Amino acid sequence: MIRVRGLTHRYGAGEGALTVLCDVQMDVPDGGYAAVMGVSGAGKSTLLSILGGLEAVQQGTVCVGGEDLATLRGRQLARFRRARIGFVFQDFGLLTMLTARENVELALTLTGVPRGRRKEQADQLLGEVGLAARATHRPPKLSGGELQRVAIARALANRPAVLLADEPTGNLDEDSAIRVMELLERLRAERGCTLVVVTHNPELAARADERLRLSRGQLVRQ
Amino acid sequence: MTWSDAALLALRSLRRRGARSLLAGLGVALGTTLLVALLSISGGADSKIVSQLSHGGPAAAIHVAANQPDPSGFDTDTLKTGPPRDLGDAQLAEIQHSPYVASVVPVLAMPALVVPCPTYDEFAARPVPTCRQRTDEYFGTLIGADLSRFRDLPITLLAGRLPKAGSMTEVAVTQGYMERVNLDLNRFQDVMGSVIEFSTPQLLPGAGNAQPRFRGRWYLARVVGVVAQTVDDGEFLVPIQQTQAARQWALGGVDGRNFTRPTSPYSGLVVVADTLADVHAVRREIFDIGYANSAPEHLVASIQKYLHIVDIVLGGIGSVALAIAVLGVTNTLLAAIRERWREIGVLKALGAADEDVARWFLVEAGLLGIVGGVIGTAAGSAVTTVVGLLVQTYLKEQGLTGIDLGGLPVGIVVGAPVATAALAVVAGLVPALRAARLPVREALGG
Amino acid sequence: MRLWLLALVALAAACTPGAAARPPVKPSPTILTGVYVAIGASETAGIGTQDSPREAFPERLLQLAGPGLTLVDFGIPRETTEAALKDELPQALALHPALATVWLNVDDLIANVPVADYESRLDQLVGSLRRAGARVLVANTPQLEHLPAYAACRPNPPPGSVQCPLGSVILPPVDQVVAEEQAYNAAIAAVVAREGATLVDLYAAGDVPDQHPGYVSRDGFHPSAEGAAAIAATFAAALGIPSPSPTPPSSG
Repeated sequence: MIRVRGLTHRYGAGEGALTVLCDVQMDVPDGGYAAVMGVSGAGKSTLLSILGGLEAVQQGTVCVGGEDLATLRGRQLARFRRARIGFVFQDFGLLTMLTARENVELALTLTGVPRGRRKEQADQLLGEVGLAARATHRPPKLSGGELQRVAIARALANRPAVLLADEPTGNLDEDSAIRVMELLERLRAERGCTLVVVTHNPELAARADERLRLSRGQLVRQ
Repeated sequence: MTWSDAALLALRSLRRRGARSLLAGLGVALGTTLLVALLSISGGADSKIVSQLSHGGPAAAIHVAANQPDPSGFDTDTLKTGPPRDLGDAQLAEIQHSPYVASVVPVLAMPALVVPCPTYDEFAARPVPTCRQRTDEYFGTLIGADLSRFRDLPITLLAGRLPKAGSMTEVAVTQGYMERVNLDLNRFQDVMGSVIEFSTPQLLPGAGNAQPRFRGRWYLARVVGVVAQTVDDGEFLVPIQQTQAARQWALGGVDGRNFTRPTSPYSGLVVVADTLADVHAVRREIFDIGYANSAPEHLVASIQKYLHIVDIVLGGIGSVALAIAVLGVTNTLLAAIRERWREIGVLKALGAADEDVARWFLVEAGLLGIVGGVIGTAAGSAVTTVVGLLVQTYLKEQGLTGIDLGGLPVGIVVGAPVATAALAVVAGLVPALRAARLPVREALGG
Repeated sequence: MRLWLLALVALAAACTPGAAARPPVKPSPTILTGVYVAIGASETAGIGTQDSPREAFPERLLQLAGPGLTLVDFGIPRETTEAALKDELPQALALHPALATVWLNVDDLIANVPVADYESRLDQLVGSLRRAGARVLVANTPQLEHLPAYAACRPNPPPGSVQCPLGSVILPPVDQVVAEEQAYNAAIAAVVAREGATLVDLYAAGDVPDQHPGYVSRDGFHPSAEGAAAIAATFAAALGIPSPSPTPPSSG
């Protein structure tokens, strides 16, 4: 579950400070599916970063997966991310010197899964996203849609409570985008994850259970 | 992330930028090669020179004269003597029994009339250049010693060989003799095999009022070698039996105004101390027994000091080279951070802790260091071997005793790669910390 | 003065081209080692040569006989056999010589020592050396009457001849000199045979100044360097040691 109260976030200090989020409130139930929309620079990625523990909470309370992020710092945030969050990035975020399998294993490495089991689990995940045959291929040899599917497999590797996707279809063509979203939604439903998708695409946003819009630092339901 | 996981990641990163990694590694290897080669060459040469000196070898030999000591002679390197005093086997044994004395070699020097190249030289296998120009006879000195103990004597064999121990017909000459017979000092073969006639004197009383006159004991000797020596002043090195025969001959005569019979069985001793540090004590002991003596203590101390300075300079040069190479590692990794910002961000987003990221970079630095160190040590060893061979060949060509630099010390073989890896890890600390502290959001480029 | 006789002796010795040119005796297979003592008078001491350490006949013989020998030259100018028994023999014996050359006859002739006395003293000297284990070479008296010094010491010396080294002494006529030489040589031969020594026949060289003028030094008495070399070659031949040539190569 995600619960945000009075979240305010500024960049900079003093007179030149930029308030990106102003007293934001947000509720997404366990297993919920929310889409956050807004123009570029509205603060969508900032909100996602805070929800994912990539940025510290400056003001307000943010509870994600039962953890109050305002009380976490540094190493604790890293642990939180490992255990609770799965990220899917617009540019896929894969390490190009690793194979598809090794990219998925990377997430398992960080949580201390033994080497032997890592391969097994990675292969299983790749199978779930339909890329079992591409396990040994490196990113330069994969298409955009395949890359995002590997990223989804990686995001799900540690059975996160929350999946955060920042413009997951931003670099994909229409067909691939639909396939990726269908995959994401299916796997979310199968695993009972809470899914928050940041997008500027209204059609993508329409697929979510709840649509939120971020404008001038304020988050409103649509 | 464990260290082995970090190693896999590091290896993949290094492979991705193969050329850059190779260059950084090569830089480390070159620096290591230079340092290893310089250290082992200087160390090897040092240890040979110093061990010879520190074992009180011939370079630090103590010269004892058949004279009472001059009180001012103890604190200088030059020999200062008092009145003559016989030096025989009893005194030799007394000195031999002193603590810290490794060896004592007696020396007997006798004057002789020297006839270079007597006219008939049919004993030479071929006409020798020595005899093409007639040289007047002159008075020289035969230095007699037990040549089977030449390792305890300050003698350097420049060409040929030393006379066989006990031989009465062989002689080794110095370049001083070659100069006297007008030979090129570097063409040792021109004097080898030539014959010299010696006459050692005996003074006979004149009958009635007649003047005493000298009678000579003549013999021929063939030149078998050319030496440089500081056993005593003289141009001819012979087995002590030759000078002992000359001494017996002189003792059969009388003393004269300008000729004193050689009553002392030995004209001097060459004493070798156990170690360099013992030379001073041994000199004092001999002084107290009652004989003038000298040793190049000040010279040796200076040599040791200069060797030390050379070591420091060479080590410094090598260290600077390695430091430059290791800085190359820092540079390489700092450049890698900029390239991998996004990847670092992703890794942190996935839940990597700061230390996981640091580990990744440190292992990469360490790998560059260890590979460069191993290659550099191997190359340094090869360079040392080649230099050693060249030095040996040169010394042998010059007729000098070779110096065996020895192989690479085990300490360097094991220590160099380890030290280089450690240095590289240290060099990687700054990049690693920088990468580790990168704010996640910033790294992700959001 | 015994100088003229010494010169005669030297010349005579030098005038033994036959001896020098004689085919060498079969070389002794034994290499000579030990002490070589040269007993004699002026010619043994090298008088007449420019550089006695190199050119006196005992030194030449040392060079021919090879390394391994140590030479002590006991030659004393004007030494008779009687004097040599006292001055030279004891010290020579003390060296335990392996080889000895003995050339003592000219000064005895000049001193008019009777042949019998000469023979007895020579026998004592040679015998002592032989009993000490030495190989002994004994030179006999060469033909002294051919030397320029002899003619210079006779009445009416030829014009341009050398100065007589004996001052105003007049030497006996030739036949007398020859008779004395032969008597001495007979005594020498007897001693050699008796004591088992080796004869070095300088008399057989004949008229040396006529055949080898260069063998005589400028004073007409003593052997020159070349003459001493020829003498050494003669002694060497008696030892069975071949020498390169009758005339040594000049070293200058």
